[in-house]
Amino acid sequence: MKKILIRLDKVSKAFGKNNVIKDFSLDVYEGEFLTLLGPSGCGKTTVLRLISGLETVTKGKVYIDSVDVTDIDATKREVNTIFQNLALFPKMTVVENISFGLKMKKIPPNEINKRVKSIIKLVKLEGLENRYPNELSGGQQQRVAIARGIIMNPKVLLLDESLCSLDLKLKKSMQVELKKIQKKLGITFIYVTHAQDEALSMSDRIVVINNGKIEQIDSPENIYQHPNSVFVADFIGEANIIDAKVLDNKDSLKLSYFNDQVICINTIEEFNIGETIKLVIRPENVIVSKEDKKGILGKITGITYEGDSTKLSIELNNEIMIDARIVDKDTFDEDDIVYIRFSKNFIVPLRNRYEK
Amino acid sequence: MKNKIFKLVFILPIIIYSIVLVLLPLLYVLFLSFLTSDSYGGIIYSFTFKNYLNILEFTYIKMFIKSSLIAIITTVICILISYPFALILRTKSKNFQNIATKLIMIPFLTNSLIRTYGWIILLRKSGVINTTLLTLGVINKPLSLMYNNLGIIIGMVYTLLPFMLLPVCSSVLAIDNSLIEAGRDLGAKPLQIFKKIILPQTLSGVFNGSLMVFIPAIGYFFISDILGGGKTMIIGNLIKNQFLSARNWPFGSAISVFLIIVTFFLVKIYKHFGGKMDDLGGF
Repeated sequence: MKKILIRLDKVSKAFGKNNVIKDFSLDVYEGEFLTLLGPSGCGKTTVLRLISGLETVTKGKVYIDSVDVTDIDATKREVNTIFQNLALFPKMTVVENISFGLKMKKIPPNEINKRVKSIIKLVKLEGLENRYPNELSGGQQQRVAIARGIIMNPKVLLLDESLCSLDLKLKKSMQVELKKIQKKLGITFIYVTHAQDEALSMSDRIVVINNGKIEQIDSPENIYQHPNSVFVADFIGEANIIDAKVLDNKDSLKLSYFNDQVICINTIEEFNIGETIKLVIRPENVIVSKEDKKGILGKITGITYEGDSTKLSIELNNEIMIDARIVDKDTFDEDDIVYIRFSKNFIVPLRNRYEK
Repeated sequence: MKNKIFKLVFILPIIIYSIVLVLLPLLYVLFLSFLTSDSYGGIIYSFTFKNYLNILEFTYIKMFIKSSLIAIITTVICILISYPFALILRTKSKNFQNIATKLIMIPFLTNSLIRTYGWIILLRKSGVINTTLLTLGVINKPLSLMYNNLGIIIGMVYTLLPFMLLPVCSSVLAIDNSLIEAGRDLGAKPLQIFKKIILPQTLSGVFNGSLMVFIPAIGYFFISDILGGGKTMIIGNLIKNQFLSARNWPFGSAISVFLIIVTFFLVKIYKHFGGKMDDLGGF
């Protein structure tokens, strides 16, 4: 059993009349890399600020290491934040920035020196000690911000969309480095992002947030392969979402879709006969073929080349659009008539709870 | 080519204005400062350094020191008022901030001479402040609030405060909130946040404001005339008197030149500390 480091207990936060976070409960385990993922404005940054203490809760309790910190100010909480804009102090050098927190804690100078040296080595900032933030590149600034946080030995490091400002390549390498640092120090990281690829590649667990509420908490694999709502399916990765009707629910789920198609799938969740549900099918699980006449007939209306793969937009007879992802681009051309099938094991049935 | 002529047409009035009304008079003052005056206030065209040597007389040195002290105290009081004001303004809404900054500017629409006269009503022995305090029984004898150095300083602070408030406010308001949050996050208490984060970032604003307050404070003779009761002379009075009463134009010119040189060095120091000339000409 892993130790719970942070517990949010039915936390709510309102700004004026605007309820940003509603009845939010979350346990964060020691040493994990947890990502809060959601569209902008969903309240994920607010959750982070409630943990750091920069924002106070309207209702509910916040526990850090089993201690109720609901009324304790950010100054005294043993968590540190890497801000979205990094918030490096512009008039301080790299070393001054990194040592700021320790100085505030009145740590003896020789110990500060020792810790600063080892942190600078850890985040690979050697030789830049006396530069000012504006003399550093984006990636270097990022590292200073991370160093300034982790030197405090926080119980949890909170990262607020910290990699968003970097270009793609730097972002990728920072992701790897961040993960390495986290493994090495064993510090719990809570990372906020709206970028699902970041969330999938770095996290131990992902918390998908929508409208101030948790949609799903699970491992990246499960979030991607077994989304529990249409929102999660749609927000993370690409998904074809189609309507289906339950015909039978005895051994396996027998469904009809597109009026004339019938499929049987295995699922743990139970559905009632006659219920209308949604099916989620990832584009890479759509099998496209020119010969296999058993499939559903459709016409390719668009081909998007994406480097490592190609996305086909296929219009079916019933005017429904289906996206398919294939590796071999050369086989298909626009306006080709094709037959599609869905690989049975990757169809996720979802209860239709977002309909009116 | 055409473009250049076009530009010149627009700039020309300003160039002519600057030459005729600023540069030539200044050169004339510089020229005058090396001449001799006769006892009737006339000017004798004989070259001399005597006017500059006269400045070094004890009476004038004392006046310079006193003037500078009044200007320094004025500047410090302005700083002490501006920071709390700016820090409180930070916590208010954008709308409120805009209105407050506009309100600071409003007194500028009235002539500063008239505004200074207004202070007499407040400060004199039978003025608003004294009568109020007497009626309330806080004091039993009216306070001397004017016709002394205190009166001058009150007048100076009042007149020059906006020049400090505006740059200090704009630099304090420009600090990104996340920096202050980062400070809190790293365990800094409010005073430490002010000292380590806010102060270093707003120092240029304070330099800028100090220059804008200190330099006029040396020269604003009318405030010293009205609220100092003519008893206390600052350099501004001295220059004015040399031109209007003593009619010793060459000596007045020499002091003016001296003051310009001092100002020049102050600006030099300001630039040395990273100040921008644009910020000084902002209003």
